[in-house]
Amino acid sequence: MKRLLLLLCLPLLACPSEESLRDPGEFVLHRLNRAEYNNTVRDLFGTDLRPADDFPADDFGFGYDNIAATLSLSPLHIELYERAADRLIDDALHSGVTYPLELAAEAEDATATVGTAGYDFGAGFWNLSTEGTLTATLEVPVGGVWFAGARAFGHSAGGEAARMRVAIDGDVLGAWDVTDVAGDAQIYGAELVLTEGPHTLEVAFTNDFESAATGADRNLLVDRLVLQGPLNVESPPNTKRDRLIPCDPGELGRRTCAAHAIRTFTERAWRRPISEDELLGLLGIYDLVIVEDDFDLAVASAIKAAMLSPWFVFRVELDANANDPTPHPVSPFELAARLSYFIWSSTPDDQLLDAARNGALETDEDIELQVARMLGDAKAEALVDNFAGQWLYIRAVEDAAPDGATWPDFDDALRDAMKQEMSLFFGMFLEEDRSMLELLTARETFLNQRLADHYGITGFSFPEDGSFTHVSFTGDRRGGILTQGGVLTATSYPLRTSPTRRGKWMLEQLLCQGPPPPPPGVEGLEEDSTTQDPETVRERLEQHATDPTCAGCHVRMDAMGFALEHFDAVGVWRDTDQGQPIDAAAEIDGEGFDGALELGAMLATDGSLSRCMAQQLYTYALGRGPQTVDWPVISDINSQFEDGGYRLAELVEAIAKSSAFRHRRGGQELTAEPPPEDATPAEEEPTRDGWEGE
Amino acid sequence: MAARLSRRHILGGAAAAVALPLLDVMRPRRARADQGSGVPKRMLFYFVPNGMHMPAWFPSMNGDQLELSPILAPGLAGLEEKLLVIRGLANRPAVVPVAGDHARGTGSFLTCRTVNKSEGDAIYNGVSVDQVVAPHLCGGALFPSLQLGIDGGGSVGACDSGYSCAYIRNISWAGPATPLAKIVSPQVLFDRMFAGYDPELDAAARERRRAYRTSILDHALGDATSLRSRLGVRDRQKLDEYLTGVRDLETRIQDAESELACAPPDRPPDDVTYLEHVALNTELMALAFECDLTRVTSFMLGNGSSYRSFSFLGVGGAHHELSHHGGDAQKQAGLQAIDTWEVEQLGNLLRRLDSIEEADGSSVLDNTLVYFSSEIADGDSHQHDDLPVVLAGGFGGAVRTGRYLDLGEERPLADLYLAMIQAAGGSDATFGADSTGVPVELG
Repeated sequence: MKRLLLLLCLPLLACPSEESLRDPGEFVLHRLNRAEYNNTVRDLFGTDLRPADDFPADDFGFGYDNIAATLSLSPLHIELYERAADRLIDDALHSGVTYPLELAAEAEDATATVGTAGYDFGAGFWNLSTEGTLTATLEVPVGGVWFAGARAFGHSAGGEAARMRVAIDGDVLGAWDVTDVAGDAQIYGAELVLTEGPHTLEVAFTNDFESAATGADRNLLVDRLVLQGPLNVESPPNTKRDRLIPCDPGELGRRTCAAHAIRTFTERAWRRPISEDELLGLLGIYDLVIVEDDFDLAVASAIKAAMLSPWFVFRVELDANANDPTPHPVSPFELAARLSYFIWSSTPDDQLLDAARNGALETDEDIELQVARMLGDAKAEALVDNFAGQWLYIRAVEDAAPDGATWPDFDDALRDAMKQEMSLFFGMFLEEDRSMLELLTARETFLNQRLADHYGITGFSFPEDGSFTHVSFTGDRRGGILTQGGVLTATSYPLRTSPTRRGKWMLEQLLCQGPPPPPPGVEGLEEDSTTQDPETVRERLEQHATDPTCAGCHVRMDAMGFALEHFDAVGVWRDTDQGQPIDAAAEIDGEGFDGALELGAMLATDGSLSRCMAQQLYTYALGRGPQTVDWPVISDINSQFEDGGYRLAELVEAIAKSSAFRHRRGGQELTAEPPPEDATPAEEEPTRDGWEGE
Repeated sequence: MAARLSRRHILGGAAAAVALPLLDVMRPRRARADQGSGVPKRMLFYFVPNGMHMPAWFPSMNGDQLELSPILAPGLAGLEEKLLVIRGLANRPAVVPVAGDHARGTGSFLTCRTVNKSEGDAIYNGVSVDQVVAPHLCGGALFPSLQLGIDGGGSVGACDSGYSCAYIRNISWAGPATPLAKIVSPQVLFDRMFAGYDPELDAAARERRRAYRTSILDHALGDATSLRSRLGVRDRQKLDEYLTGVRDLETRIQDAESELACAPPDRPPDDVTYLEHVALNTELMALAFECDLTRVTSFMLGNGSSYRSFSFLGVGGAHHELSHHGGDAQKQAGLQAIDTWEVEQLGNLLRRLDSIEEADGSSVLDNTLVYFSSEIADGDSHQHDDLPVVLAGGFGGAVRTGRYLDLGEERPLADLYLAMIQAAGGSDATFGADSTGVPVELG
């Protein structure tokens, strides 16, 4: 087929390259996962809201939760999408701040020197029946001209009205006769300049009068003390609203402004230009709503429709003919989306969309330029949260459950600190030009006071606010991810370490050589608490080596785990287990090592390590598990990775420029079919399987 | 009243009818159960993970009095008259001689099918019994069914030996490849149940809102319909999940009564402890029945093979680890404590349902059928027979309660579900993979 195409193309000026005819593998319609949804709406709306936290958990495959074929969508998702759209749009349109503000202190809550709560017509008011004051302190958020005063009415007597004096910060502002009409309380006061910060407002009743003879009684009844302002400062722009509706319907005309807002939003949300028909479709919703309801709701409804559309919910990629398996480049906009969801777990920014629009996402150089820009943007933190979070099991620390009785101090603060340590450590490789192999060997990490105390590390001082410091080690205990509390805890059981699980983690995540599940009928390690000689975990696991059913897989796995035995189930260094000294020496294929640092050094020289890193990031970037066609591509990427000194930026760039990342094809085939009635799953080849038990 | 634009205009052209594969969930929803006395009948499916400590599970009969076992007594004492504990049920489709019993057991919990071993792109199960009974019981309730739970799902790694997490996290399945995701947030559940409630809106405003929502969903359907024709076969499958969801929501909006039967309680807080979460869910499940928001609910107290720590009960270790007791007495004691606590949660729900009175003086519980069980029996051997099953509530008299029924021989779990389907008014002759067609006698 390829040969035929090459022959046919000779008369043409441009031949498809060998590379571009390479099968890019099958890509499946890719639903935004939770992290991607949250980041996307953050960038679309400028919001802090994270509505996807309420969505059902994403299924993961091949170790990641962004695998297109594995992500499913239930009716509940649609409902929650609608709910999310309502909230996001409402927040954008209505959470702006408009001046003047009113700050008030109810009189009953103010500090009074005299008086009682009013009753009858005075209910809700404070009755200053004799001369005295009401004082309250209010916090002015923005300096400027403010009105200060109080709402009050009074009981006139002896031919005079009650008189109220208002003072602010000790200076008298003025005094006023208050109305004696009970239902008509007024606000009395004056304007002055106030700075930002707290100000004390005082209201005083200055002309008390009583006549025992006539029963006349003059009183002042105060409802609340108020500050209104700033009166001379423009309301701050509602940036969220302006982003959503970037025009003034009054100036432009309502429908024109609506069309502009809808097009602007939808082209960002759908990550591509929209056609006139598509715009008309959405405007139809505006037209329906504007008949009886206001401009805001009408535009909001059209935008909501854009957010519920499959063009938003999925990252849609098209082939000219869905049944044709001929590889072809993805469109520039599709490539922009692939890049932004790879590096930022979010929607393309305007610069990336412009590059797509202007034909500036075609060549290797174009892509290198964008990748470098994107890696330098703070949004690249997504690679730490989502790629490293899953690859290095940082997220798994959330679910770890060390036994509460044995480690009563293991709380959320410690959990967060462990996650932070690993995240900051990985982040180093994003920011600096370092070899990723140093993940295993770097004699440094990030600690805060809490974590240092937990590890029993002294000799450093840390800020009191719990923030982290970059520290270097000189001893022979810690250095590299194999010695970090997060993964050590996540791969342990509640009551003890599990060398097998730790070894499995290393084999799967670092070498991509995960073992198959155990044979059925193998139960957990015997927890024999009744023997006279308590055994160490290592001693009990030795049975794996002697039993032929177990040895094949366990000899390697357990050996790697033994090297980490100096770290207990919550990552703290220990010299003994059950009273016996720890033996952290082991060997694989004749190569010996003793302890985590030596094991790390050994793994760092293993050729499988860099290849596995490439495979892991490739899986994450493409959103699919490697298919047969991917192996040569991954080898190629690995070579570039190696030539580039194993820098993360080099790896990202190599993947972004690879043929699979820039191409797609049609000709999908169905895989899900009902299995035959008594199908027994076949024997396993090493894959990404997990299991319970040892 | 201004003229309304037609849907045709909004879709921007001729709306093409599309012949979707007829997924189970699109059956007409208007089939009504024979209401008899007019009191609504309901079903609730209650799942707890990791099986039971079986030696302390089965009760006994003392003459014609049900005597509860050590695990059942603390939670269910006083409710004996309303219980039917059954022994002898097995879920054979979950038995396959490779690792993955929890995924298979949980996946088949309400489907009685051998689930396909796949990490995610080829999941295949069957329709769950709650989805089969829902159209018969639905009546005018707002939701054909609710799927609720406590645990969303873990963050990394794999779920069970090469089986997709979908099997572990869901017990309700609308179709072979369509798990029905559950709500785990009390706030989301609350909003969903009481969302329509806005005393400020008059009938006309409510009607307009409904029309707007419908138009927006119509638009989404239009987009999806025209997109579908341009996609490959696997993409269409993904898009069909989306289409089902949009259609479901539209149908519900159109069917919804404009008045809610209950004024909503206070909105639950955001940040809740595990115990508060369970209590809130219990309350909201009862309210859902009381306010006739649904007639069919499935609930997972934990995901299959849950690793939750129950240190608040003074039990060390993780639930799953304890269920692999290996004969260790201390582990078994811990396991029994957890099992007893789970049954207490069931008891709280049953008492709550029993406290709601129907028009004819009976309680909601008397007209409900609650099914309580786990994905396995003994966790150490991953046993799929001799399952721990409790039925509660009389289902309006169709179920004879107040007894312990030892079937004496092994019967497929599917035959119990068949009995429940028929009691709900279904005429299905079989269910799942291994039903014999002979329903278990409940009356």
